[in-house]
Amino acid sequence: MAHEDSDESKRFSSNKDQNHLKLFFKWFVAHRKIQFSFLLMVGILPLFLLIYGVLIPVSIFKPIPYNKTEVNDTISSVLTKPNKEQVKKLYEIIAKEKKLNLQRNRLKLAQQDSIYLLLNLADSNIILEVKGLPIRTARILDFETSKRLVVADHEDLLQWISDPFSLKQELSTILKIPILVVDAPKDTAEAARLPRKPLEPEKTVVHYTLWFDRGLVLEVNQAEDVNPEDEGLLHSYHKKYDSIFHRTILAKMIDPLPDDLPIKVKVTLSEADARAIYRAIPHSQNAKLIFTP
Amino acid sequence: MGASSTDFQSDQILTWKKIILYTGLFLSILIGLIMILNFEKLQEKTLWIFHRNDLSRTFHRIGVESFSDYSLLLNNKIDVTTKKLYAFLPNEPYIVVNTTGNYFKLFNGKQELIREGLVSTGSYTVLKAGKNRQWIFKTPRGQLKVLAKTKDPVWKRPDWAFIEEGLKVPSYNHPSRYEYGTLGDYSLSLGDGYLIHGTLYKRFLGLPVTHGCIRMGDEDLELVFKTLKRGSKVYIY
Repeated sequence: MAHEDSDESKRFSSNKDQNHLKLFFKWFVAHRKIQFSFLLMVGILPLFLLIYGVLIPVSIFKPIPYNKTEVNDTISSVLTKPNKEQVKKLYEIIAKEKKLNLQRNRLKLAQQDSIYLLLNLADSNIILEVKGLPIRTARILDFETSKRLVVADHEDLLQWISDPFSLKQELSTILKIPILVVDAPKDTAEAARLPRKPLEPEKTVVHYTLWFDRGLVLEVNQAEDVNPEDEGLLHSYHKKYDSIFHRTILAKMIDPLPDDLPIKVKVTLSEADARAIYRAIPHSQNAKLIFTP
Repeated sequence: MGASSTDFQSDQILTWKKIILYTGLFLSILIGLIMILNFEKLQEKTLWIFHRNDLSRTFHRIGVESFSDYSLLLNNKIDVTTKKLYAFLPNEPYIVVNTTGNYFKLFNGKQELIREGLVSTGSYTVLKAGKNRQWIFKTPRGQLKVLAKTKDPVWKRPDWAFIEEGLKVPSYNHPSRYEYGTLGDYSLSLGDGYLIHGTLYKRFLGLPVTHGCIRMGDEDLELVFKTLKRGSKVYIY
């Protein structure tokens, strides 16, 4: 009996709540001013943020802000625009200018002894080269670039890529040099017990990020699925990666779009290619990259 | 009775207005926070509104009259630079060794692949003997040259070969330093004691197990020995 009573009271209170809700919505629908005030309240902050944090900074932002020479925007805005036929020819010239830039940079680096990297998005490949000789060509299976490279003016882009990029910082799931340190054994018996490196090829997941000067960030990920035992390693890599790129809300509010915001290029390679390239490129500062977008 | 019902209604409306106010503020702050956290993505997505790949500056720089002249000039410059670059390339057979995958590729003077196979390269083990002596067993990288070629080489065991086995290091020219047959039928010296040579441990080909030398299988080694000359380039990465 008591059980039935409690059910009855629950039903009653639920009906009461539903009635309240119905009344509330009826009242809300009937009052245009209230609806308008509600929408205004919801939208005012996002609208402000859209204007302050997105539209204004983007409108005055230069997609490639690393130019040696300043361009007079007023002059460039009144320049004559090429017609369709001229645009076609211009694109041919642009391709040639990029090729010339590539060859000039290769020539510059061929005079040094270090191994360097060629990232050619137009041909979808990454090449390890030494003294002008490609020693490994890796096919880019997939890539994603910052939209800044797409909307950037060719003049700015050409200046930006005119010199090889130098490596500043790196983060990786694999060791650059997988060193094993052993102390010399005292006798032959101890020598027999010395730790040895595992006699099988490495299989750990290969993800790495290379920070170059002039804001270029190259992110390389392996195409193959990650082994479940490597997920922890990958998680800690992503955590470190996020902490490097992380900006606080306050910093974002003070400067929504800083000039030195990185220009990211993300490529997917086979695990073997990604590993070989990472191990082959010299340590920071000495590692150079020639980039052709 | 009527007055209390009106009071109830106005109380109710006041509560509803408060609910609307707080819900509105909550949603506004929530959307705002999501926007701030995604500023970069929003900025990327709105870039096209203000920035277009405008060719007018390039058009102005080149000049409409000189399109074809400039195009020819560029062709010429590309050719000249490419020719200068070719001067660096080997016009004789050369070998490329990958120390990560532990394999080699042998090319002829026209840069055509003539053989590829497995090798063993440096293990990246650091052997420490006391405070002052240590060796790192790594294969050098970059462009090297074949400095000497030897048939039936004899291995003169360096100090680390004894220390590593827990043996006493003999005098410099002690007979126990000389080993016959260990290096296979041929060796090619790359300088600083690094060699391309044969191996007794063929099961380890394809793995990084050496003290820095490059070990090869017998048939591969014979072809490499016969193809490469003194001065031939060896590219290791």
